[in-house]
Amino acid sequence: MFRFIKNKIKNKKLLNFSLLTGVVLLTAFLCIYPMFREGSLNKLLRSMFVEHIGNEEEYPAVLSKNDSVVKVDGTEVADIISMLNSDKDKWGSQISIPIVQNQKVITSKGGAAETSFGEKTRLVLLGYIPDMYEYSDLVFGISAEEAYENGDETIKQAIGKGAYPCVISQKCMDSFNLVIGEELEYKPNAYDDSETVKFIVTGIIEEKTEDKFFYHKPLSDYYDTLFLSEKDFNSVIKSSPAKTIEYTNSVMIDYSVIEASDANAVSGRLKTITEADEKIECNFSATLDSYCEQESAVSVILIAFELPIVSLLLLFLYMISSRILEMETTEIAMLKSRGIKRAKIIKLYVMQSSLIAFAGCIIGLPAGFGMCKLAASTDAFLSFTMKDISIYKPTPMMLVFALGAFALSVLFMTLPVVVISKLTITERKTLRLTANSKPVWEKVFLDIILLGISGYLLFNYYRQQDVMAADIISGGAIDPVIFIDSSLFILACGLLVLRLSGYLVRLIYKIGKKRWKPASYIAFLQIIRGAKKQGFILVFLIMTIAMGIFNSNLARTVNENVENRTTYNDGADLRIEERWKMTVKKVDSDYIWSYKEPDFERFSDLGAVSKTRVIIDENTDILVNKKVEKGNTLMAINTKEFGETAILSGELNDRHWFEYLNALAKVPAGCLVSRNLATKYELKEGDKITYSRYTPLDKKVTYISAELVVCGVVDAFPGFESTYYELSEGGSLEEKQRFLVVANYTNIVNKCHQTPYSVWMKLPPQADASKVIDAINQKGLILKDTINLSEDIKNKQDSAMIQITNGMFSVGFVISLLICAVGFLIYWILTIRERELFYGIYRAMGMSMREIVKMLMTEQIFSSFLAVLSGFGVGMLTTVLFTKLLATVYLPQKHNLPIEMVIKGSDAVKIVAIICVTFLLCFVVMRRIIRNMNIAKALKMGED
Amino acid sequence: MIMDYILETKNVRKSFPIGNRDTIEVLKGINLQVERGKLTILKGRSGSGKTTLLNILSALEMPTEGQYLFEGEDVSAKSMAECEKIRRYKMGFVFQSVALVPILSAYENVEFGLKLAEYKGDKDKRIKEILGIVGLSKRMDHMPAQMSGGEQQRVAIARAVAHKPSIIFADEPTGALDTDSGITVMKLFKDIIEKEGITIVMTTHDPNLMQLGDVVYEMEDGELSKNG
Repeated sequence: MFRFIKNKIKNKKLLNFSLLTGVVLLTAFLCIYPMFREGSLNKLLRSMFVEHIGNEEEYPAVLSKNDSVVKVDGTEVADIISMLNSDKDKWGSQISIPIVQNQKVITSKGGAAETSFGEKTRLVLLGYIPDMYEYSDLVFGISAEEAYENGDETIKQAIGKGAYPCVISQKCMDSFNLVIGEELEYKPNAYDDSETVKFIVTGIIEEKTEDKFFYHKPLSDYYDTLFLSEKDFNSVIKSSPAKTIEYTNSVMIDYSVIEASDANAVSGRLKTITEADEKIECNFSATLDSYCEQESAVSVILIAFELPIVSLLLLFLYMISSRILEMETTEIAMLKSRGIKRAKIIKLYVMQSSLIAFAGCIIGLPAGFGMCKLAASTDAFLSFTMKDISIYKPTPMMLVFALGAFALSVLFMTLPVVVISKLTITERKTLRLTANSKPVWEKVFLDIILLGISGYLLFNYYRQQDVMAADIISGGAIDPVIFIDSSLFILACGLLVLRLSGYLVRLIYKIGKKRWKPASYIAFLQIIRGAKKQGFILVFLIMTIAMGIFNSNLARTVNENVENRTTYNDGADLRIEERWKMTVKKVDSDYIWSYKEPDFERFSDLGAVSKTRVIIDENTDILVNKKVEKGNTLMAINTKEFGETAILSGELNDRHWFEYLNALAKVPAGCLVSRNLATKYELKEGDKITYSRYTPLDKKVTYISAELVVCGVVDAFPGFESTYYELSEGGSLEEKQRFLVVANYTNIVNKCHQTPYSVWMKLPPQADASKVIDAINQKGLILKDTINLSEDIKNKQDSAMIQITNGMFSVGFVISLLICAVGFLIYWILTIRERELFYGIYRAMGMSMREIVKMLMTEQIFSSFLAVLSGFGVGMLTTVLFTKLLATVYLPQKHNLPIEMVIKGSDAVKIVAIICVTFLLCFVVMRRIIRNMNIAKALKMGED
Repeated sequence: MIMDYILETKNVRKSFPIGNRDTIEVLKGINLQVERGKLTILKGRSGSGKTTLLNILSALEMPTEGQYLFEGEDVSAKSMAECEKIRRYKMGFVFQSVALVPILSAYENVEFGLKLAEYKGDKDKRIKEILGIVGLSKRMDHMPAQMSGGEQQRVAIARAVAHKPSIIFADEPTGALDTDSGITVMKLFKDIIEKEGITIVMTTHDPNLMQLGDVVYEMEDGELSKNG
């Protein structure tokens, strides 16, 4: 039996090789799913942790406990640290994830301090953080420990008088208006007349940028804490009347090792820990919960992208298998005539299919690994890069999927034999006589039905677009049918085009029936009457090209819209915000604050093409028609510099945005307002609005209100997003509007004093912004915020969803093109072999080789070439109808930049080039076969 | 009496290479003259060289040595393109394997033959006339798969004859047919010679058909001898 199967396979090497190719591709493509899914989920999880850092400015995976210990005689810091260490170890073993950092903050509360300059009495805390100096920079002064040895005269004198040296945060310095060398008197109990303890400020500390996450809470949160040395802290608490010592034990766990597959388990373990002790808090439960909600979206989108290609591959296997069986019908009839039962014949084919499927799965598994890596390396459609893709690792689930591929392959390879083995010789003959009749799909109008279904679904999705977008923003699952609908539409159009091209060829044939030369005559009739046979490969061709065109346009649209929106939101190549020093003075009963503007010229030698100061206050009140709008954006700009530096497309406003800047420049107290504000209050040029700003000392008190004259209404402005989303009390996301007022920089500084600004820079093309940031850091500038456009774009485009889209579309296209080429080649090699006798006869009858080639070319032009053209047409039509809808899935948020469909000629050229090369190769093979054909031999073959 | 020969071979030899250096001689100096308007039969066992000779006569292959004259012209000195023209306009072919184009009806198969030979007359009239001669007037629109082997061969003969060639070459035209159909085909050949004045050269190994030929040659081991 095995030898029989081996010979059967050997006899039809080419066809069985195609089957093997089909199984390899099917296995590989199915195996991509678990590996790509896990990699993407890991990527998603990591990105959510990173997003947490950006949003909350804290380490994203912290278990912390705020509690206190009752002070007994002899309680020292070391005892508390030892207890906290044991807690840390316990949590570490419970959660089973490595701990990367542990920060312990020990404080003693309940004191009031008064500075030596007689400022207002404030409640302060005394604190001690082990290893604090290892993770902090002394911005000014010296550490509390060093003060005993290296303090200046003032410090040494104070220490000599019993003062404890301490360091404070920048924020504490700003809030209390402290300076180095300033003494504070501390009353351990603010409400009695207990003995005071003196402290002297010896230094100001800031987190080290690179060790930012040693601190669970930023040092700015310790705006009321004086940090002492361990020895001094021990001695202060010994004499303090406070009965308890407070502590915060923060354990930072290594979130980078949390695998997506473990997210649920980790979430469960966290619950166990936090439920066991109410005082334990976890800052990443929400991240894990949110991840679990989005997990299904990744699976859904992957399945939606897998389905059409897997269907194509299964159809391919069915097609090739049917072709083999067509050639083996006599063999099957012979076996049946020898009394072999149908079940045994089917078993024979199951064994043969299993053998091919097994070999295919063995090759397909590593091929799937390679393809997944290839998909992961894309950064646009068919654009493969060398980026780090180590997050995509093989998983045991790939074996399960390979097994699934095996079962599916065997099923689809054996299905035709189930049908064929049922027929008797007579039935088969009858079937052959009707072989030229219309295919079933054409008779039942499957194309029209599918077109109706996909059109109806498309119409409905467009109707519900807003609801769908809102659902996605709130973390709802993506409906996979939205993606499948586009494939359905392409299939329907492919079939319809095939029907119509059939009518077209018939019409052309009929028009010139009497005039056609023999080659064209045969070619037309071959197309018309062989449509059923050739239809399959033509639908394949149309679908491959249409899907390639549509997928490339969709990927391009998503990538470019993401890039455009990021560019718009960032507004410039590089934005940096330096930490400014604020000084507060008490004049009578008021506090007068002021900022000292750092030297702007320090940004001059960084290689920027242009730079500008931009004040952005996102908490400005706007008063229009006696109504106050709170929490809006005020931007103060130097119009000329801003125009030279910021990025904005010229078509987003009614006029080019430079015209608005010019209008603003002409009116010193003028302003530009956002369209939403102008619409709400029917503002027009010349109207007046009032803005109010809040003092940096108290976010509830305004210190300035001034009038501005509207000199323009803008729909879009660099860095301004009018729509934002906020969680409502009910837990759902609410869409909100934010207003913008853009005023002249000089006017705002004159009215509101100098306030911190960010520096916007335009960099030369190809310049590396990170090098500019490094240069700034080397200058010793302390940066509060940095916005690096190229980095932001890279991060956005590297998101799990976009990576899946770019990767799956690219690999899917390569696979469909590959099976299309193999299918096309196999079809034509077999067809030419089948026609070899006829070509011999045509040649014998005097037809020249040129005429035979012309005959084949005519056939190709009106079948394959027409299919290629139709594929392009269908692809473009699908792009026009579906792109904006599908792009909403990726960019559901409302934005000042509406989603624009992006079609690039270069993408189409790339696809055309690939298809041309593929088919050129096919034609070379075909021509070679025909050239090598010997007429006399061909005629002999016919006789045989 | 001056005989009107349509074709003539002078010492025609044909060898085929075997392996790298050796050759096998299939035709060993054939001298043949075929008279116009006659049915000439080449008989011989399988491998005797009759098909090779027929291929040379029908300008499908060139002799290795010797001269082949068709209607007085030296075919062995002609180019491939010139041979194609001769085959296209002056010759007709009937094959053992029938070889009708399966996607064309009986009418279209004949029409294709006429188109190929660039027939100048009324094609429709000629197709119907010739299909009438072969007795298939009522089956003109049938596809090859809907006809019997004999019927298919008659369509093939109609296709070969339709453009009024000077000669028809038929390689084992009855080989795939039963005896009755074979005899029908041979009678048809005789009929065509009579009505259309066409010369027919055919190969066969069926002794029952020999008597229907005007001239019979026997091929044996690459050599030709006249047989009756």
